Amino acid sequence: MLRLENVEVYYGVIRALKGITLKVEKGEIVSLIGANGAGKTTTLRTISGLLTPKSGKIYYNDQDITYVPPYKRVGMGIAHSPEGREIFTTLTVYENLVLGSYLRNDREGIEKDINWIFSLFPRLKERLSKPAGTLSGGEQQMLAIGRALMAKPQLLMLDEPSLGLAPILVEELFEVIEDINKQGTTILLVEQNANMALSISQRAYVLETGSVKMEGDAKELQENEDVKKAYLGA
Amino acid sequence: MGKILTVLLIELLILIVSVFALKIESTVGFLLLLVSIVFAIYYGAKNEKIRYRLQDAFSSSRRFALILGIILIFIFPLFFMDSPYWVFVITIGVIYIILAIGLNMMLGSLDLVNLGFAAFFGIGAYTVGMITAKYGLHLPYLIVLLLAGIVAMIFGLLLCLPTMGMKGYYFSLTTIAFGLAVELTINNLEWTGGPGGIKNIPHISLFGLNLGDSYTVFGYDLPFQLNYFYFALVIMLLVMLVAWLIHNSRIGLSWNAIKEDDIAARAQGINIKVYRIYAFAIGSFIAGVAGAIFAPLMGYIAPTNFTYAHSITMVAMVILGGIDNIMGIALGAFLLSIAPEKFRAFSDYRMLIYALIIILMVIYRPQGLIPKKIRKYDFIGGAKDE
Repeated sequence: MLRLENVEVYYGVIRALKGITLKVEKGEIVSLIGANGAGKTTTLRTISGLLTPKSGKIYYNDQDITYVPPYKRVGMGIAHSPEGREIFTTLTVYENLVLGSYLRNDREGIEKDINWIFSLFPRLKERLSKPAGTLSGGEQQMLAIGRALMAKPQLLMLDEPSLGLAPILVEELFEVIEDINKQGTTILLVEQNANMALSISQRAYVLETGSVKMEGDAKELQENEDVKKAYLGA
Repeated sequence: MGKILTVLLIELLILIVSVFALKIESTVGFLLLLVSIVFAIYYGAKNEKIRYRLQDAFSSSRRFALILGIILIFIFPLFFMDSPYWVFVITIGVIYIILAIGLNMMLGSLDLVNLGFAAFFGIGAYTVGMITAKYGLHLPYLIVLLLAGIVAMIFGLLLCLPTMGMKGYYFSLTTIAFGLAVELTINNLEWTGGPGGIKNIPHISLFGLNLGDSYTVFGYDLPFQLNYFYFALVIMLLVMLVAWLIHNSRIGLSWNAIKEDDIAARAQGINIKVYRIYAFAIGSFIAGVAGAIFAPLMGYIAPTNFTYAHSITMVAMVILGGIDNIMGIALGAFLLSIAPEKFRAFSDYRMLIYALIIILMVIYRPQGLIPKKIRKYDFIGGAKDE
């Protein structure tokens, strides 16, 4: 479904991604794990088009999208729930969700999906017409994911969904992510909480300073001694 | 019934106080009135019971409140029949309301602090002046009005495209330069009349009526300025309606999303360039239209009518009134266009007092007199504002 080939991205003169090659198949949950500065967020931003690679190619459904602008990629089915939950804090919960469905015209489908999101995150429904800035951290995270889902994406990219959440909420959240995947959305997940991420993923990539250090089956990586030592805190 | 009575009494009170405020001759008296208004509003807003009752009354009889408000605004100038000068001042106030609403599309909705907005106003006014006075073309006025809007819009797009990626100070600096460039060009070009401007701009004639004529109704001779007031008022109501519709549409919501976080907005699939073009196009068109009412009302326009100071005043109107709230902007624009007239007694200190008001407002009420409201929705994809 998604393929990156030797993608290099620069921030000014600094090479943030040093030739990343990875792929995501339809229906999978794939995790990107790695330390701070490994290039996980940069990879997601490049896939959603907010950054443009200096070299390399990005293919989506066998179509070269390397230079397709971000707003068109959303229309193609790539949704991005950014790190630090970049929700619109002065706009209401409802407006945030409506903005998520920005490129859709099927009013009935939109209404159905809003109700679906309320069933995933009942707390959002109670806060419908409150400015999103008044929500708690966990609720904001739910809203960010809900907003990304409103685009009815084929590929949903989640950047650090567990960031700053209480452990109990993290578990709840990952159950919802699995649920979303079971209902047919492919997921590319970036997580600091590697153990949690690997436990719900089929495959994973380990990034280190801008390149792929290891890749493979999520369960095998979870058992791998190097990964355990470096990222799982064992 | 009690609610309708509340609305009626409040709106009549506002009318009487405003008439009184403009009529009062003594500056001290005016200041006292101003202070007591501020106190009344302050304590009214602080008292939960009063605030709730008023909100309830106005939200449950919205249509009545709106229609009554419009009727009262139509009646308003009739209290000044003895002094055409005040009718003129009020009409200028209405023109500034139109301008401030146009500016809000950039400043309020998108957070683009345009400090050269008076240029579009000037371009609109000069378009009318050139067509009707300099070349003496006899086009129907509504066509001229449209042309003024379109020419201002073209200049709006000329400013929009090169500043596309700019934000913050960089954008503001560029708009200052643009405003000055337009002003200086008009000032130095022989074609536009130079510093002398354009004289003898003919009055608007509309559907066989000449707005420069004094009409007699029920035996009263009405000053010609009143014709302009009503014409400007109709345009103002139209502009308000359009602005309200836009604010509650996808465009308004997208503007606000871009204003808050343009990266997140792009990640939703919003094409931010297109929305920036909308804001410039619509905003500068509205300014051009305001210019097209201004020029024939004055009969004489010069570069000094469209300076940097005018641009700053327009920004102050939006900030004072309340960003992204049409009623607030109207109030801010009206107050700030009337205030200099009331402070004439202070002559040289006039601008100082003016500046003081703005500083105090920014410190004590940065959200403006009437802050932005949360949009209310009753169905998916559409918004209703309370």
